[in-house]
Amino acid sequence: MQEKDLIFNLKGLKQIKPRKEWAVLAKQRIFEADYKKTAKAGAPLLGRLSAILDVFPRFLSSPAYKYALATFMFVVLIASSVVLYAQNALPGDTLFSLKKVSEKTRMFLAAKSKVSGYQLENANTRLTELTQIAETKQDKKLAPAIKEFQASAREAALNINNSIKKGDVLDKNVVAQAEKLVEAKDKVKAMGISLGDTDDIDNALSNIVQAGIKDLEASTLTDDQKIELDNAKKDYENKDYSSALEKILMLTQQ
Amino acid sequence: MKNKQEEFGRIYDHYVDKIYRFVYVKVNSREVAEDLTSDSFLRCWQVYKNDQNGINNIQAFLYQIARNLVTDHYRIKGRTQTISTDDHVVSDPRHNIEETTKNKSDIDQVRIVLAGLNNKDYQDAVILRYVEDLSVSEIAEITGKTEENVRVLLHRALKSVKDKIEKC
Repeated sequence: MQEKDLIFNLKGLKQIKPRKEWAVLAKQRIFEADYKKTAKAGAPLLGRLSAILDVFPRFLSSPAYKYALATFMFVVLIASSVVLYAQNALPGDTLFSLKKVSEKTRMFLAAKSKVSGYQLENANTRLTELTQIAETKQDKKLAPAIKEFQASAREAALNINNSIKKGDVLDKNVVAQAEKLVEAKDKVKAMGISLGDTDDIDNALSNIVQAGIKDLEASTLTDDQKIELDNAKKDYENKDYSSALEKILMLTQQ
Repeated sequence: MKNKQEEFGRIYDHYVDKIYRFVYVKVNSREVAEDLTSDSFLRCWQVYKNDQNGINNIQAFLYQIARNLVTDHYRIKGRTQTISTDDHVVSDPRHNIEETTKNKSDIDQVRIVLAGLNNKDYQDAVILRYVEDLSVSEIAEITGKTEENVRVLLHRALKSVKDKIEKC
């Protein structure tokens, strides 16, 4: 091969070119790598989310899609944080209504048999909030807290009374929450706080004890269990609902 | 920063084919060439964006980075170079089919011999002068040698390639 031919062939190597799609992607990555570094160093959260999305390079090769998804994730993150933060809100706080919305959503999504238990849980939560308010001496929030308890107790009582009338079998959680509620009510009263008219919920608690005793009477019990049921009946007659519920719960769980 | 990105974007567009080709002929693997080329530009950008006065000779700087990365690549991998003939099929634009086929195989042969040169200075000099059409002074700046040394290198390198082809 002559030198002239060799040089001609060497020039033929000019035909070697990179793949176009690689060249475009590599160019993007040069600046993206730079952006990722800035994000890690404390740049806006949106940038960090965008960097996280790099684990899906094939789906999100377009920066526009990546930023749209990052924005969506950012909004979801903020909304979730607010809802989470609202769980600590007390009656009278701005975010309290959001806390109630999340409680209502849970009830809406729950099975029908679970609703009464959740309603009693909410009434218990209201009493816990009330205790917290009294302990931290946030006097301005006392009135709205009592009002919220009355509303949730009324709602729970109505549903429980209807279920018992229909002859529905009580969920174990209803009995457990009812026992908690009796104790919490006593605690609040001991702090010198008047809960106002609680006839509805008291009546519902009495009905729960009655229904619980009725269910146990219909089931097969050992001699010891029969004695315990008799004790529960006595507690009920003495209007010691807390002790009666405790015994019913124990017998139900055995 | 945005202006610098735009400027560097233009530099990238201008040099990406050249740097890729330079690396590819030396490593003879598309995947490795792609990795080393993008690393070269990434490193160059890291310097470029922080340099207030600008890089004196961006072409020389890019080739120098690419050369160093190829050297590092071989240092890490050892001499496990694979000679691939199917990554890039090169052909001659002439219309005569017989001549085209012959020339295609000649070009491939040149590429394989060039990739297999043990003397990397010879390899650099030949690629930069005859493939990339750089002047002797430009090659001198990239390789850090005097123009006289580059001329001598070119002469010896071309002879070396020619000898190897004749032996094939």
